[in-house]
Amino acid sequence: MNLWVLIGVLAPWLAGMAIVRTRRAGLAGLLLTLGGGWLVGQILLFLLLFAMLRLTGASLAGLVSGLSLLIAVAVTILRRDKSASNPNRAMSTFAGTGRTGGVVVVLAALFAISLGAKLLGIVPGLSTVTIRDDDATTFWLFKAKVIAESDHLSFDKDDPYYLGGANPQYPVYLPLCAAYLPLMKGGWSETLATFPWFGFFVATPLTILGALRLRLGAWPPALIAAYFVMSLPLASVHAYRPGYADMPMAAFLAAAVCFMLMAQMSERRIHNIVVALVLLIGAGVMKREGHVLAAVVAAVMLAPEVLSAFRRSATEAWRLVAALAIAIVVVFALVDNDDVVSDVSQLGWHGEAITSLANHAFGWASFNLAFWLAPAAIIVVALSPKAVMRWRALALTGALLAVDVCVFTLTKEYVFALNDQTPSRLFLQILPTIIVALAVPVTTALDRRESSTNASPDAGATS
Amino acid sequence: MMAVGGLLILAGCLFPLLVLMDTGAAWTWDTKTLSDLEGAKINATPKGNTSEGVRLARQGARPVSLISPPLNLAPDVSHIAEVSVALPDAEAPTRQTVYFLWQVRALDADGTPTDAQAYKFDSTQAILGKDPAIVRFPVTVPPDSIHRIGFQFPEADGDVVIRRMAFPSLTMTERLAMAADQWAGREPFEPYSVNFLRGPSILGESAISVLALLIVVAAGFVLLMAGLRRRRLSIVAVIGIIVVVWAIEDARATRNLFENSREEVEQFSKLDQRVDRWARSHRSYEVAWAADLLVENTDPGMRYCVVTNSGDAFMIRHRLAYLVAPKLVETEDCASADLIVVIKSDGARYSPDDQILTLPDDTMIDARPVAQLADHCYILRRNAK
Repeated sequence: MNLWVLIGVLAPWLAGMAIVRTRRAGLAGLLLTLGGGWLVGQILLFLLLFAMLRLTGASLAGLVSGLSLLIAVAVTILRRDKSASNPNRAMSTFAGTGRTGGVVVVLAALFAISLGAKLLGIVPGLSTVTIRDDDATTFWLFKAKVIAESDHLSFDKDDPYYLGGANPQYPVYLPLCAAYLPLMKGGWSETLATFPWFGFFVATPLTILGALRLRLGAWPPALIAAYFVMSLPLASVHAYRPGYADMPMAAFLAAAVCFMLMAQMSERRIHNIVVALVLLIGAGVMKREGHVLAAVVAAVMLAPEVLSAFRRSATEAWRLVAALAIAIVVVFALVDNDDVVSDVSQLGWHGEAITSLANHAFGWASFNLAFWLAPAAIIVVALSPKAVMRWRALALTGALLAVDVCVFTLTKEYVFALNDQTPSRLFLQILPTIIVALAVPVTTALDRRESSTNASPDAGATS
Repeated sequence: MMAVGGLLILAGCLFPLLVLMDTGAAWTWDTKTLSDLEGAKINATPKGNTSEGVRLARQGARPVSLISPPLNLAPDVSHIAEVSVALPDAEAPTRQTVYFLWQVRALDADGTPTDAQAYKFDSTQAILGKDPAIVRFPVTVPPDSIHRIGFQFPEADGDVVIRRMAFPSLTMTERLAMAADQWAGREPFEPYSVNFLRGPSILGESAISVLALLIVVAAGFVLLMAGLRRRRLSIVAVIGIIVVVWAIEDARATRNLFENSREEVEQFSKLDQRVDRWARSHRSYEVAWAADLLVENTDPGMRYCVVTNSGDAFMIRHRLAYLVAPKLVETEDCASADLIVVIKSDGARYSPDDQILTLPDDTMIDARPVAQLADHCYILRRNAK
């Protein structure tokens, strides 16, 4: 591998890891740092690249790498005394029962074998097969190729390659991530341009695994949730045939919830919430509909944090409000909202899309059994008054599903349900987040029930 | 608890058993002579009858497909569709993709069935050669709602002989074998696979719903055992069942990914020339040829336009734009373009003697030839005035 490319891979990742690093949290903290660091690094990367292209007219990719490394060093130095918090406040008794050692080994093996087998299919494909899917060549990687080959991003609306060309309504930030390694190499390479998708595919389950292990205090539920997310069949296809924005957006949304879960238990609440907001910025600017889903996650997950912060400390609460306001301003400064406004301004009932949605969710194989298990999980949570984060998880699940259903039953996008083009891709955007959100109340609900059967002490979790 | 467990097991087992036993009524459409094709939609040129059936020749680049006349199937017709097909020009049997198309009935204002609904489709891979082969598909909609069915053979280079289409009534053993085949069969990654994965359909039932049923049966068994032992239901056991069933489907999907990747990587690693790789990934040799030529032999910033009216016009324009960007800029106005790429345009005519290209809207452009791949695919350079 070209040295510049290696630096290009490592620099934003190191910066991201420095930002999200969770010390004294063992293997789970390491996984969270590796996975979350990749995701935050990608956001840092496209923000720096965009700023550089905007300010200087050229990407100066090497300088972006240097700045990333500088950020990594600076954050590490600044946080060296502040990151000694211990986030291991367990909520589950699974880890303490002493009966789960074998289960953990089996689940870890299942996770590792499944991931390894998928990578055996994905990696040769990424390195051998040229880009071949419609939206990838028409929009996302088209823009990336234009930016990488010209080392320029046009902000002139009359330029045929305005914002990378193709449809300017498609945000340019994912293409910037894709263009970065080819820019570091000094020429277009589809293998390098699609490398971020490989990163998103691996980083997402690692982030979920680390965060849920720390939040729940037990490996089995964290491994199951991470395994479910990693083995969603459509996610593998998006890693194998890269160039679509759905999987990266799903990664940012799910990771944002992971860091909000971390914020619930860590002494570094504000820090984790800010990281979550950064990830929501990433999700919000990734696709035209991204900010709608990011707003739903922020509203459901963050509003209670802000309210509880006001009860504790006004300073902390105002900091949170300021961070949220900055995130909103950044997203609206970076995205073109016209398509969403156009959709919302032409509402009408299109019930014929429901059959297609049901088919995508329950009949076809894009999501394994996720949609069959979700109702069971929702019932378990709804019937368990002491389940941790019960209402927030139910509200988040309901709101995300409602957004997707409304997109296809109330807007002109229903035609894409009838021709089967987009329902599964929109479901892919939200399913990892739903799995993460439901994992916490389901685990605590079942755990309490199991604990009461075994007459073990209560976990002492808070709701 | 025991009763609930027993009921879950009973219900869970009964449903697959009923599906297995439901052999359904048979329906057959023989296509042995040209007169049998009356009312059918034929995307091919019929070349006459053979002992096996009507021989259909490809029309240019369009794949051969045959769609039945409007159907009026009974509700009890079998949920399996099959086609008997042979490729008389094939040198050796090869694995090829076959599409099954169906159109659900739509009624006009008078209640007459119309062709208004879009075709849905499913694909599989089958070994096709000189000898007739039977390719079967599960039918996932009620047969009596189907207006037309059809089959398409996108990878058949030569003629295609279709002997019959049918909804066969299979024995239980045959249905069991077919269920196993359908579970183990590979779902080819198609261009649309990034939008969804259909997964196997077991005798017309979604494999995912069959797996969900398997969880119900297994949970019922655990419930029954807990009842018999007078213990509470073990949550760990239920979660274990869910993970195991998920892992079964994960193993199938991962194998599907791996096999598709292996095949595609093998195909691409044999292609030494960039133009061949582009042709395969962008599904058009004409686009790859034009892009390769434009990238190598033009000056940066030149403007080009594409003249095409094929059904793939969107794909042709966008794939070419991706391959030549940002060196060249596409324009819709051919009169102002430096280069004109003509790919599969029925209306465009070029006169080499006069060096005049007449576009489908009768606009005339003074242009000289740059390169030609075939009658339907060439590149011109507009002459300076």
